[in-house]
Amino acid sequence: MSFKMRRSPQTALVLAEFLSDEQQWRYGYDISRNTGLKSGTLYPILMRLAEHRMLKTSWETAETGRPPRHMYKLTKDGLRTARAMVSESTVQPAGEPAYEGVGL
Amino acid sequence: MSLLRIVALTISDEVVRWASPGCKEWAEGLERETRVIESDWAALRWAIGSTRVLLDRRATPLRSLDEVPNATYKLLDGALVRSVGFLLFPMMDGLLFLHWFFVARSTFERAGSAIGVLGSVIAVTYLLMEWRRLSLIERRRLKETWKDYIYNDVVACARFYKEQLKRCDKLWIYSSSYLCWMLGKALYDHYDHVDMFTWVLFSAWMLFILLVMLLVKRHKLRRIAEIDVLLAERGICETEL
Repeated sequence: MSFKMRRSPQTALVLAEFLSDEQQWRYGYDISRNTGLKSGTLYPILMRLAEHRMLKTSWETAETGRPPRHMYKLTKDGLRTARAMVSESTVQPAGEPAYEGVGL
Repeated sequence: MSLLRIVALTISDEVVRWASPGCKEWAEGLERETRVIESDWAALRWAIGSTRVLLDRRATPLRSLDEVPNATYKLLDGALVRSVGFLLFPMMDGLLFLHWFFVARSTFERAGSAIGVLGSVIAVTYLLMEWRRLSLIERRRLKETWKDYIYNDVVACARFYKEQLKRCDKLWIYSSSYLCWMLGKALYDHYDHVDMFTWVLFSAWMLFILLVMLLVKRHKLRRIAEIDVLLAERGICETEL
Protein backbone atom coordinates (compact mmCIF):
# COMPACT_ATOMS: atom_id res chain seq x y z
CA MET A 1 0.00 0.00 0.00
CA SER A 2 1.38 3.43 -0.87
CA PHE A 3 0.51 6.95 0.14
CA LYS A 4 -1.44 8.38 -2.79
CA MET A 5 -1.84 12.00 -3.80
CA ARG A 6 -5.29 13.19 -2.76
CA ARG A 7 -7.13 14.80 -5.68
CA SER A 8 -9.36 17.17 -3.78
CA PRO A 9 -11.02 20.26 -5.28
CA GLN A 10 -8.71 22.36 -3.09
CA THR A 11 -5.64 20.66 -4.56
CA ALA A 12 -6.96 21.32 -8.06
CA LEU A 13 -7.48 24.95 -7.07
CA VAL A 14 -3.89 25.29 -5.88
CA LEU A 15 -2.54 23.58 -8.99
CA ALA A 16 -4.64 25.84 -11.21
CA GLU A 17 -3.16 28.82 -9.39
CA PHE A 18 0.36 27.58 -10.10
CA LEU A 19 -0.56 26.98 -13.74
CA SER A 20 -1.71 30.58 -14.13
CA ASP A 21 1.98 31.52 -14.24
CA GLU A 22 4.06 28.39 -14.52
CA GLN A 23 7.51 29.94 -14.31
CA GLN A 24 6.84 32.25 -11.40
CA TRP A 25 7.94 31.43 -7.84
CA ARG A 26 4.92 31.93 -5.58
CA TYR A 27 4.55 32.95 -1.95
CA GLY A 28 2.18 31.05 0.34
CA TYR A 29 0.17 34.12 1.23
CA ASP A 30 -0.32 35.10 -2.42
CA ILE A 31 -1.59 31.62 -3.25
CA SER A 32 -3.90 31.84 -0.26
CA ARG A 33 -5.31 35.18 -1.39
CA ASN A 34 -5.84 34.06 -4.96
CA THR A 35 -7.42 30.71 -4.12
CA GLY A 36 -9.32 31.76 -1.01
CA LEU A 37 -7.79 28.88 0.94
CA LYS A 38 -6.78 29.44 4.54
CA SER A 39 -3.26 28.70 5.73
CA GLY A 40 -4.42 25.57 7.58
CA THR A 41 -5.82 24.15 4.35
CA LEU A 42 -3.21 25.43 1.92
CA TYR A 43 -0.03 24.26 3.63
CA PRO A 44 -0.97 20.58 4.00
CA ILE A 45 -1.67 20.62 0.25
CA LEU A 46 1.69 22.24 -0.51
CA MET A 47 3.41 19.73 1.78
CA ARG A 48 1.75 16.82 -0.01
CA LEU A 49 2.74 18.22 -3.39
CA ALA A 50 6.35 18.58 -2.23
CA GLU A 51 6.25 15.08 -0.79
CA HIS A 52 5.39 13.75 -4.23
CA ARG A 53 8.14 15.87 -5.79
CA MET A 54 5.53 17.90 -7.63
CA LEU A 55 6.56 21.10 -5.92
CA LYS A 56 9.95 22.63 -5.30
CA THR A 57 10.61 25.06 -2.52
CA SER A 58 13.17 27.77 -2.09
CA TRP A 59 14.02 30.55 0.32
CA GLU A 60 13.96 34.02 -1.15
CA THR A 61 17.30 35.82 -1.33
CA ALA A 62 17.33 37.92 1.80
CA GLU A 63 17.06 41.67 1.51
CA THR A 64 18.41 43.87 4.26
CA GLY A 65 16.05 44.15 7.20
CA ARG A 66 13.54 41.63 5.91
CA PRO A 67 13.58 37.91 6.65
CA PRO A 68 13.52 35.70 3.52
CA ARG A 69 10.17 34.23 2.47
CA HIS A 70 9.48 30.67 1.45
CA MET A 71 8.66 30.30 -2.25
CA TYR A 72 7.03 27.53 -4.25
CA LYS A 73 7.03 26.42 -7.86
CA LEU A 74 5.84 23.30 -9.66
CA THR A 75 8.46 20.87 -10.92
CA LYS A 76 8.26 19.42 -14.45
CA ASP A 77 6.43 16.39 -13.09
CA GLY A 78 4.23 18.70 -11.09
CA LEU A 79 3.33 20.74 -14.15
CA ARG A 80 2.48 17.61 -16.11
CA THR A 81 0.30 16.20 -13.33
CA ALA A 82 -1.24 19.61 -12.63
CA ARG A 83 -2.33 20.08 -16.24
CA ALA A 84 -3.92 16.64 -16.25
CA MET A 85 -5.57 17.08 -12.87
CA VAL A 86 -6.88 20.56 -13.55
CA SER A 87 -8.29 19.59 -16.94
CA GLU A 88 -10.08 16.64 -15.26
CA SER A 89 -11.69 18.74 -12.57
CA THR A 90 -13.91 21.76 -12.92
CA VAL A 91 -12.11 24.43 -10.98
CA GLN A 92 -14.46 27.05 -9.61
CA PRO A 93 -13.17 30.46 -8.56
CA ALA A 94 -12.89 30.57 -4.79
CA GLY A 95 -14.76 33.84 -4.43
CA GLU A 96 -13.72 36.07 -1.58
CA PRO A 97 -10.04 35.97 -0.68
CA ALA A 98 -9.30 34.46 2.72
CA TYR A 99 -7.01 37.25 3.80
CA GLU A 100 -6.58 40.77 2.66
CA GLY A 101 -3.60 43.08 2.44
CA VAL A 102 0.02 42.12 2.00
CA GLY A 103 3.02 44.29 2.62
CA LEU A 104 6.35 43.86 0.91
CA MET B 1 3.22 46.99 17.06
CA SER B 2 -0.41 46.20 17.86
CA LEU B 3 -1.50 43.58 20.38
CA LEU B 4 -3.07 41.50 17.59
CA ARG B 5 0.23 41.48 15.70
CA ILE B 6 2.13 40.48 18.83
CA VAL B 7 -0.29 37.58 19.42
CA ALA B 8 -0.03 36.51 15.76
CA LEU B 9 3.77 36.54 15.83
CA THR B 10 3.84 34.71 19.16
CA ILE B 11 1.59 31.98 17.77
CA SER B 12 3.74 31.69 14.64
CA ASP B 13 6.95 31.49 16.69
CA GLU B 14 5.45 28.78 18.89
CA VAL B 15 4.33 26.84 15.81
CA VAL B 16 7.91 26.92 14.50
CA ARG B 17 9.18 25.86 17.91
CA TRP B 18 6.85 22.88 18.31
CA ALA B 19 6.61 21.75 14.69
CA SER B 20 7.90 18.23 14.02
CA PRO B 21 11.28 17.95 12.23
CA GLY B 22 9.61 17.16 8.89
CA CYS B 23 7.38 20.25 9.12
CA LYS B 24 9.89 22.74 10.51
CA GLU B 25 10.69 24.33 7.15
CA TRP B 26 6.97 24.73 6.39
CA ALA B 27 6.29 26.23 9.80
CA GLU B 28 9.08 28.74 9.18
CA GLY B 29 7.55 29.56 5.80
CA LEU B 30 4.21 30.24 7.47
CA GLU B 31 5.87 32.36 10.12
CA ARG B 32 7.59 34.54 7.51
CA GLU B 33 4.27 35.13 5.78
CA THR B 34 2.76 36.30 9.08
CA ARG B 35 5.36 39.05 9.14
CA VAL B 36 4.49 40.42 5.69
CA ILE B 37 0.70 40.46 5.98
CA GLU B 38 -0.34 44.07 6.45
CA SER B 39 -3.67 43.62 8.18
CA ASP B 40 -3.32 42.60 11.83
CA TRP B 41 -6.53 40.59 11.81
CA ALA B 42 -5.47 38.76 8.64
CA ALA B 43 -2.08 38.06 10.22
CA LEU B 44 -3.80 36.65 13.30
CA ARG B 45 -6.10 34.45 11.22
CA TRP B 46 -3.10 33.27 9.22
CA ALA B 47 -1.17 32.45 12.40
CA ILE B 48 -4.12 30.57 13.91
CA GLY B 49 -4.48 28.58 10.67
CA SER B 50 -0.79 27.75 10.78
CA THR B 51 -1.28 25.78 14.03
CA ARG B 52 -2.66 23.01 11.79
CA VAL B 53 1.01 22.17 11.06
CA LEU B 54 1.39 21.06 14.69
CA LEU B 55 -1.03 18.19 14.13
CA ASP B 56 1.17 16.81 11.38
CA ARG B 57 3.94 14.85 13.04
CA ARG B 58 6.52 13.69 10.54
CA ALA B 59 10.17 12.75 10.60
CA THR B 60 12.76 14.61 8.55
CA PRO B 61 12.04 13.54 4.95
CA LEU B 62 14.55 11.49 2.98
CA ARG B 63 16.04 13.80 0.38
CA SER B 64 18.17 11.27 -1.47
CA LEU B 65 18.78 7.53 -1.63
CA ASP B 66 22.13 8.10 0.07
CA GLU B 67 20.25 8.78 3.30
CA VAL B 68 18.49 5.41 3.15
CA PRO B 69 21.24 3.21 4.72
CA ASN B 70 21.30 5.29 7.90
CA ALA B 71 17.49 5.33 8.01
CA THR B 72 17.55 1.53 7.63
CA TYR B 73 19.92 1.13 10.57
CA LYS B 74 17.80 3.47 12.64
CA LEU B 75 14.63 1.56 11.79
CA LEU B 76 16.16 -1.80 12.67
CA ASP B 77 17.64 -0.51 15.91
CA GLY B 78 14.31 1.01 16.92
CA ALA B 79 12.26 -1.98 15.79
CA LEU B 80 14.30 -4.37 17.91
CA VAL B 81 13.89 -2.22 21.01
CA ARG B 82 10.19 -1.58 20.26
CA SER B 83 9.38 -5.25 19.73
CA VAL B 84 10.61 -5.91 23.27
CA GLY B 85 9.06 -2.73 24.69
CA PHE B 86 5.67 -3.34 23.06
CA LEU B 87 5.54 -6.76 24.72
CA LEU B 88 4.68 -4.94 27.93
CA PHE B 89 1.24 -3.79 26.71
CA PRO B 90 -0.25 -7.19 25.79
CA MET B 91 1.48 -8.82 28.75
CA MET B 92 -0.09 -6.36 31.17
CA ASP B 93 -3.52 -6.80 29.57
CA GLY B 94 -2.99 -10.58 29.50
CA LEU B 95 -2.17 -10.69 33.20
CA LEU B 96 -5.24 -8.60 34.00
CA PHE B 97 -7.52 -10.94 32.04
CA LEU B 98 -5.81 -13.96 33.57
CA HIS B 99 -6.55 -12.57 37.03
CA TRP B 100 -10.19 -12.00 36.01
CA PHE B 101 -10.31 -15.57 34.68
CA PHE B 102 -9.38 -17.01 38.07
CA VAL B 103 -11.77 -14.80 40.04
CA ALA B 104 -14.63 -15.25 37.53
CA ARG B 105 -18.00 -16.13 39.07
CA SER B 106 -19.97 -16.96 35.96
CA THR B 107 -19.53 -18.60 32.56
CA PHE B 108 -19.77 -15.20 30.87
CA GLU B 109 -17.00 -13.78 33.01
CA ARG B 110 -14.85 -16.82 32.38
CA ALA B 111 -15.48 -16.72 28.61
CA GLY B 112 -14.80 -12.96 28.50
CA SER B 113 -11.52 -13.18 30.35
CA ALA B 114 -10.48 -16.20 28.24
CA ILE B 115 -11.07 -14.19 25.05
CA GLY B 116 -9.03 -11.37 26.56
CA VAL B 117 -6.18 -13.76 27.31
CA LEU B 118 -6.41 -15.04 23.74
CA GLY B 119 -5.97 -11.45 22.48
CA SER B 120 -2.81 -11.12 24.55
CA VAL B 121 -1.48 -14.49 23.36
CA ILE B 122 -1.92 -13.40 19.71
CA ALA B 123 -0.07 -10.12 20.30
CA VAL B 124 2.71 -11.63 22.43
CA THR B 125 3.30 -14.49 19.96
CA TYR B 126 3.55 -12.06 17.07
CA LEU B 127 5.89 -9.73 18.95
CA LEU B 128 8.14 -12.60 20.00
CA MET B 129 8.34 -13.82 16.38
CA GLU B 130 9.11 -10.27 15.28
CA TRP B 131 11.82 -9.97 17.93
CA ARG B 132 13.39 -13.26 16.73
CA ARG B 133 13.34 -12.12 13.09
CA LEU B 134 14.93 -8.78 13.97
CA SER B 135 17.56 -10.50 16.13
CA LEU B 136 18.57 -12.59 13.12
CA ILE B 137 18.92 -9.45 11.02
CA GLU B 138 20.91 -7.87 13.85
CA ARG B 139 23.35 -10.78 13.79
CA ARG B 140 23.76 -10.40 10.03
CA ARG B 141 24.28 -6.68 10.46
CA LEU B 142 27.34 -7.30 12.58
CA LYS B 143 29.04 -8.91 9.61
CA GLU B 144 31.12 -6.42 7.64
CA THR B 145 30.07 -7.82 4.25
CA TRP B 146 26.43 -7.03 4.91
CA LYS B 147 27.35 -3.52 5.98
CA ASP B 148 29.28 -3.01 2.71
CA TYR B 149 26.35 -4.32 0.73
CA ILE B 150 23.97 -1.90 2.42
CA TYR B 151 26.18 1.13 1.86
CA ASN B 152 27.35 0.32 -1.67
CA ASP B 153 24.06 -0.59 -3.23
CA VAL B 154 21.61 2.07 -2.15
CA VAL B 155 18.89 0.82 -4.47
CA ALA B 156 19.02 -2.65 -2.91
CA CYS B 157 19.11 -1.00 0.50
CA ALA B 158 16.06 1.11 -0.36
CA ARG B 159 14.16 -2.02 -1.35
CA PHE B 160 15.28 -3.77 1.84
CA TYR B 161 14.18 -0.73 3.87
CA LYS B 162 10.78 -0.74 2.17
CA GLU B 163 10.38 -4.44 2.85
CA GLN B 164 11.21 -3.90 6.53
CA LEU B 165 8.73 -1.03 6.76
CA LYS B 166 6.03 -3.23 5.29
CA ARG B 167 6.91 -6.21 7.48
CA CYS B 168 6.85 -4.16 10.66
CA ASP B 169 3.39 -2.98 9.69
CA LYS B 170 1.03 -5.63 11.05
CA LEU B 171 -1.86 -3.54 12.21
CA TRP B 172 -4.34 -6.39 11.68
CA ILE B 173 -2.53 -8.48 14.33
CA TYR B 174 -2.91 -5.75 16.92
CA SER B 175 -6.46 -5.06 15.74
CA SER B 176 -7.38 -8.72 16.36
CA SER B 177 -5.93 -8.49 19.86
CA TYR B 178 -7.71 -5.18 20.40
CA LEU B 179 -11.05 -6.73 19.37
CA CYS B 180 -10.47 -9.71 21.66
CA TRP B 181 -9.74 -7.40 24.58
CA MET B 182 -12.82 -5.26 23.98
CA LEU B 183 -15.07 -8.28 23.44
CA GLY B 184 -13.56 -10.00 26.46
CA LYS B 185 -14.20 -6.99 28.67
CA ALA B 186 -17.75 -6.60 27.36
CA LEU B 187 -18.52 -10.27 28.09
CA TYR B 188 -16.86 -10.11 31.47
CA ASP B 189 -19.11 -7.23 32.53
CA HIS B 190 -22.27 -8.87 31.20
CA TYR B 191 -23.66 -10.41 34.37
CA ASP B 192 -21.85 -8.34 36.90
CA HIS B 193 -22.40 -4.73 37.87
CA VAL B 194 -20.74 -2.51 35.27
CA ASP B 195 -17.79 -0.75 36.81
CA MET B 196 -17.87 2.42 34.70
CA PHE B 197 -14.53 3.77 35.87
CA THR B 198 -12.63 0.60 34.96
CA TRP B 199 -14.50 0.36 31.67
CA VAL B 200 -13.70 3.97 30.67
CA LEU B 201 -10.08 3.58 31.74
CA PHE B 202 -9.75 0.32 29.87
CA SER B 203 -11.36 1.73 26.69
CA ALA B 204 -9.19 4.85 26.82
CA TRP B 205 -6.07 2.71 27.15
CA MET B 206 -7.10 0.51 24.21
CA LEU B 207 -7.94 3.53 22.06
CA PHE B 208 -4.61 5.11 22.91
CA ILE B 209 -2.75 2.01 21.75
CA LEU B 210 -4.80 1.90 18.54
CA LEU B 211 -4.13 5.59 17.88
CA VAL B 212 -0.38 5.13 18.32
CA MET B 213 -0.46 2.20 15.93
CA LEU B 214 -2.36 4.20 13.32
CA LEU B 215 0.14 7.07 13.59
CA VAL B 216 3.04 4.66 13.20
CA LYS B 217 1.34 3.13 10.18
CA ARG B 218 0.88 6.56 8.59
CA HIS B 219 4.53 7.37 9.19
CA LYS B 220 5.57 4.13 7.51
CA LEU B 221 3.32 4.70 4.52
CA ARG B 222 4.87 8.13 4.09
CA ARG B 223 8.35 6.67 4.23
CA ILE B 224 7.43 4.03 1.64
CA ALA B 225 6.01 6.75 -0.62
CA GLU B 226 9.22 8.79 -0.21
CA ILE B 227 11.34 5.81 -1.20
CA ASP B 228 9.13 5.14 -4.22
CA VAL B 229 9.62 8.73 -5.33
CA LEU B 230 13.40 8.55 -4.82
CA LEU B 231 13.55 5.28 -6.76
CA ALA B 232 11.38 6.78 -9.49
CA GLU B 233 13.89 9.63 -9.80
CA ARG B 234 16.49 7.00 -10.59
CA GLY B 235 14.18 5.59 -13.24
CA ILE B 236 13.10 2.64 -11.12
CA CYS B 237 9.33 2.43 -11.03
CA GLU B 238 8.16 0.55 -7.93
CA THR B 239 4.60 1.76 -7.77
CA GLU B 240 2.35 4.14 -9.58
CA LEU B 241 1.91 7.47 -7.82
